[in-house]
Amino acid sequence: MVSASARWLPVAEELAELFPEGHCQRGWTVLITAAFGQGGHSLAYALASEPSRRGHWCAVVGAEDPGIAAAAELGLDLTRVVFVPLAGEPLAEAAGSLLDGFDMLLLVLDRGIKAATARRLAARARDRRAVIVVVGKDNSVWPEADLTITVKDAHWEGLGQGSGRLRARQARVHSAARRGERRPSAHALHLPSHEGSVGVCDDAKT
Amino acid sequence: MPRLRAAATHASVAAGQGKFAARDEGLQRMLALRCPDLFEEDSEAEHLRRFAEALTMVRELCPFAEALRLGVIVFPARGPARFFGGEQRVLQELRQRLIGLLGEESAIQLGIADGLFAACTAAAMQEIVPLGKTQAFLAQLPVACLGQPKLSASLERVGIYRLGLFARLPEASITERFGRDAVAAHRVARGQSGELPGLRDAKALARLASLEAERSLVSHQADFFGGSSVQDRRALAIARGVQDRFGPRSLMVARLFAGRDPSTRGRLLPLASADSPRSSGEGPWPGSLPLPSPARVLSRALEVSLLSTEGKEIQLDRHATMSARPASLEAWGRRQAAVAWSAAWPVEEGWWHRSRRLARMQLLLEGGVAVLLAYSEGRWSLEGIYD
Repeated sequence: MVSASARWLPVAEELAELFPEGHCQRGWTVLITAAFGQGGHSLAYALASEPSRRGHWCAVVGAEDPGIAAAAELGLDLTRVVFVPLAGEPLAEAAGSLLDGFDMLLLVLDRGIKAATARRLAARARDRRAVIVVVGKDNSVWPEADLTITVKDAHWEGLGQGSGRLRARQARVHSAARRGERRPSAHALHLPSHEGSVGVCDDAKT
Repeated sequence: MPRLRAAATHASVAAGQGKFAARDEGLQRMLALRCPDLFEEDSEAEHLRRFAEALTMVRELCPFAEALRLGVIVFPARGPARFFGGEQRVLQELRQRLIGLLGEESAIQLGIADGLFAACTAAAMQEIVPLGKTQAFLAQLPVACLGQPKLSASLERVGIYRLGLFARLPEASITERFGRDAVAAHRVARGQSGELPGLRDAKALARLASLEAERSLVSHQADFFGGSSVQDRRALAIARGVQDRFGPRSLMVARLFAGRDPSTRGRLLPLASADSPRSSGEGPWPGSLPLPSPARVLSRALEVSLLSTEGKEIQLDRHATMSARPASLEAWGRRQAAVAWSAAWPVEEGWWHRSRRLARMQLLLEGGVAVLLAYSEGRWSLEGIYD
């Protein structure tokens, strides 16, 4: 049931464009930067959805208040996920251990992380061929990420002035790889769309 | 809607157990196995080896089986009970296999109850505590069962000899009367938690783990949950290791329950006391809140102020009509302008609601952050953020 590829982890089709090769290289650290409430968490769950559905174990580390129903709606297979609500040193230590048996870690770093710790975890991810998806407020959280996805200008549709409901959110997203030939790219992103999916909008890239 | 009913029944069992519970951990039906002959290590490490073999064998029945200490193994009973056709059958099967492994003369104690502590105690008494009867079972146990001599002495001094009486003491008074360490024991006595401090022996488990690491992983499919792969076992072993190191609540699995309250629909449960992750296959439940759900759900709702342009708190009448247009939200020590909002949606009172929420509302703030608010008895609180 597990993807045969030894070199990469699968990514939902709608998010493939964010990655240089359309999927996520094992050993990589992917940084999602988003200001508070701008969709960083949703994007992270969406990135973990396809791996979890294909049998890869995922761990959500450091999220104090994970929205489980939301995670399930975004496609995360809850039977292949564990949640580790630690902080500080325990978070770093647990993350190191988890990289041994989990193919993907979502590291929610609202309070940042020491640079040395980040480097150590990144090295361990490379060694264990796992992927770390970091969610933080800006680049300073993990400056040496292999891929940085920046979420900006998120805006919701659907609410009025005493009517309607949150229906869909769009954001602008920049994706930049640290190495390789692909140049940074910009996309319009559903986060989520009216149908609930998260992904790059089909219409014109900005 | 049979699936909804089935989940509702489960939730009611979990909720019913803690009549006093502010937050129950969803005590799961656990099977505990005790081999008193293996409790103590011998000089040849023979007991350790045999126990490791027993653990491997039990994991063939249930990949989520874990050792608490030398000679004690637990696992969630539901899956195996379904597979073997009842709890009695599981016990029979398990006993047969253990006799085969450890010999006829070896003492084998088995028991089933809700929650870890009750299950271990039931095993010592070789009992299956019927579903829902765990609180009654706990109530008649002597306080010495908690394995905390100082606490027992304090309790007996004031005439409390059984867990039932201990449980009836108000939670707020425990720290003052018996010290902070007694709080966890009190929660266990009340059936709110299965994690009695001292149940697990981390050092012995570490020794067991290094012994297991020397042996090669047997990679074969287990029938139990429709296939348990090498990756599954490895991930769970690592997860258990984290949990042993940082405590039961450091490693949680998620379950979706029937319900409309965002904070109870999706819940985290510690891995040890949760049913196998696989069994939470039921999908998102229909609820009065439309999708999408908030990606952050506060475990404790945050009290906030929703204000009109005059700075007055917005109130809802019994038709959930707002007293004025929302102009700003005061939260996290800041005031942010309200940009858009839904109507206030009155919430039906369901039997699974512990608190009376009258209405919910979505609010979009300047800067693009959308939040989920709840209104109850004149006060607003923030339940979720659509992050």
